[in-house]
Amino acid sequence: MKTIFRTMAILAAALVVVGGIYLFAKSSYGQSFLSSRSEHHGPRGAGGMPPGFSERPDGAMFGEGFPDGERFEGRRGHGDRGPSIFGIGEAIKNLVIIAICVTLFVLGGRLLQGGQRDKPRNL
Amino acid sequence: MAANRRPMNRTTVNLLLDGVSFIAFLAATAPALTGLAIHEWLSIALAGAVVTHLLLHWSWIIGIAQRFFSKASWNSRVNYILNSLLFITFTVIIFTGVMISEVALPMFGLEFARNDTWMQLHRLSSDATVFLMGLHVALHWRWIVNATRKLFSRPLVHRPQSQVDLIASSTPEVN
Repeated sequence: MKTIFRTMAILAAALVVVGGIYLFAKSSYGQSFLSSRSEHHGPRGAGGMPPGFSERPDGAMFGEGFPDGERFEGRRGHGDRGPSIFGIGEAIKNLVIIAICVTLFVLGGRLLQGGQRDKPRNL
Repeated sequence: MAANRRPMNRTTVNLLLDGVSFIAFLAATAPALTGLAIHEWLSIALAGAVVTHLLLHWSWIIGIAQRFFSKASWNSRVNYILNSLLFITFTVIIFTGVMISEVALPMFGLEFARNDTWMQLHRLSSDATVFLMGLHVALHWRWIVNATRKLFSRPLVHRPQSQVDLIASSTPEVN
């Protein structure tokens, strides 16, 4: 029974977050913030091509062959639907980011402790 | 006398669950690797893993929340804020993922109109979660290292002391 109540509490908290995100997405500030990011990354509507892409010499558009006509970008797009071993690069990239965070934190902690140990004591 | 399997303690359960969840998280943040179908189903399963993780650490969550503005240490406060942000970004990922689902939810007859807003939020929250996950792992690194050491240092099978003496007496001494 306790577990059920705790689960419901967690889901209630998630619902609050979802409500906040929904309001943010529908607000004018949220719309302008996200549309400015969309302009930065380029339009991603169905069949929409990012700026800089052009026709290939054979007349076909870059990105053809993908279901939505979008260029595949890994996490940044869901153009290609099937699994691919080459996608492991993205997982490794994320692992490297996490490893860098851990390394910086652990090294920083050790430097801080070393600095505190080296401080001269007041006699 | 049959050797008894040592039951897993709470630390081991936490370590195994967190380890599996972490690997699943890395895979889920690489839809190019898994393909869209596995990406969506894995992410839904990860939502369950997150809820389980929170349930396992419920007493810490409530304890720090009650002491946040009074007796809690700064370390605990930072940890709590970071974990709250992680919860928010995970929730955003799951919600926006549901809104842009192309495989999992259509299987149940649920389809939402394609909306670039949810896609943008999905990408943004995914990037933020990778970074926050790095900080989360960093803050708990010492626990991870200690728990892993304990896991691999203890024997898998628990032998009662009498059986240990029997084996010791029957094994010839090597000079």
